[in-house]
Amino acid sequence: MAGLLRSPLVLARNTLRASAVRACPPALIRTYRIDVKPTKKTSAAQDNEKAQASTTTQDSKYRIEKPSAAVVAFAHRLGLNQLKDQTLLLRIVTHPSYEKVGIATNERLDYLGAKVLDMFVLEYLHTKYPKMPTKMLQDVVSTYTKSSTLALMAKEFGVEDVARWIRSKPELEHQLAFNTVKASVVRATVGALYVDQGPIKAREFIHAHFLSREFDLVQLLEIEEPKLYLSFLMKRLGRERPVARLMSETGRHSKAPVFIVGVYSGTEKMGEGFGSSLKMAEFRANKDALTKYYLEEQKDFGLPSDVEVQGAVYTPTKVGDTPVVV
Amino acid sequence: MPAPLHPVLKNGVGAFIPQCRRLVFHYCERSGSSRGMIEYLKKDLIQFAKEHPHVEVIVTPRPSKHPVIRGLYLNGKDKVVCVRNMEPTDIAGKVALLKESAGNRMKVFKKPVISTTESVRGIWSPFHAAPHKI
Repeated sequence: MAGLLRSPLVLARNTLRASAVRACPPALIRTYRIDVKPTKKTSAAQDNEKAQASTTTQDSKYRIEKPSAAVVAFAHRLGLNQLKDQTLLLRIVTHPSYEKVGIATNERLDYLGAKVLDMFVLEYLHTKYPKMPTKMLQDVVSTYTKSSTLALMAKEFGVEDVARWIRSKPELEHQLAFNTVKASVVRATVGALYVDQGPIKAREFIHAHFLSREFDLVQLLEIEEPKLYLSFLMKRLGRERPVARLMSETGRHSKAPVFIVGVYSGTEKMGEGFGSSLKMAEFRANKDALTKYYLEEQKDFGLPSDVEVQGAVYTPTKVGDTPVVV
Repeated sequence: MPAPLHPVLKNGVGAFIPQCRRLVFHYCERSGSSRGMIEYLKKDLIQFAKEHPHVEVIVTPRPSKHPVIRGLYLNGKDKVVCVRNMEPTDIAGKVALLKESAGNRMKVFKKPVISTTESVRGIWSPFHAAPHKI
């Protein structure tokens, strides 16, 4: 017989393989997951009920989708399980690029959330730093609310798993970036909380997730000529003109000198600086004095939006002086 | 002037975000090493999933392989634990370990306190301390 000869080992292996395939029927080889499938049209009564419960307008016919396990997990991670309208969940994570008939997108919530976020971040920083120059305040607020920060926060929230979007076609000039989508989801979360739970819950969310983050503000304070600005400031405040005094030094004629200079207004020390030269140390001392003045923090302050909180008493804080004009 | 850094997450200061986002359970229907795993999946897993709704739980058969639990974290990393021949109580321990972990590598912390803020009283400086007197 000129048939194909196989060794006993090969024959045994093939038998085993065949038996394994027979023993595991195809039905078992499935991942058990909640499907995101649009349900068939429900009865009129159910439709009505759902329309009343949701925050969408009455005449819009959105597909009733069941959120996937990933979306539900995302909601619980951020405390969005408390939303009264759970259809907002899928709306939050759907970018407008995910254009399919009957799917709600996060465009409106994104815009709303952007404004709410700006408002509450600004309110907090304005009250906490009354003397901060306005230009710097704008920079700080933008650092907390800009898209790149939000994209980073989105990764930490786990938005990458749940965001629904479609990449732009390759021939298009302007390509949609994933970071843009992620930032929109974060803003939409804020917007959804505001719409569903009210301003105070939105504020709590922003304080807990955005303002709790650590950021060194000093790097955003831009002063070109500290000595000049400080002397003008002292004049405006009606105090004695600033004088720089050498407090201590070491290694003056060596390779690595260190000078500690303090700037005094009368007997009160305004600021201190170190440097490898006297000029450098004086520069730093003047800068330190200005930093201490402009970035003075308020402790135990109330916010204007406290009036929304039941039982809270809001005493307005004095608006700080504008920075000195040179 | 270099571009300012972004605000850094301080997990727990404001809100706490649990770092485990997904747990995937693999088991084999036939193998003996999956016996404990299958018992755990039947008995304890649903209760665990209900108690931790922020964790996405996925169960998938993986024929002819040892049972394995894979934890996926918010930093994109994952941890895989093989639970072959383990009893349900031991498996529950491993699940808890994965759930409570972050995606980072296990590191030995040699200092009792790790902080980004300076001390309250300030670091000692020779320029600000009174000189030593005998």
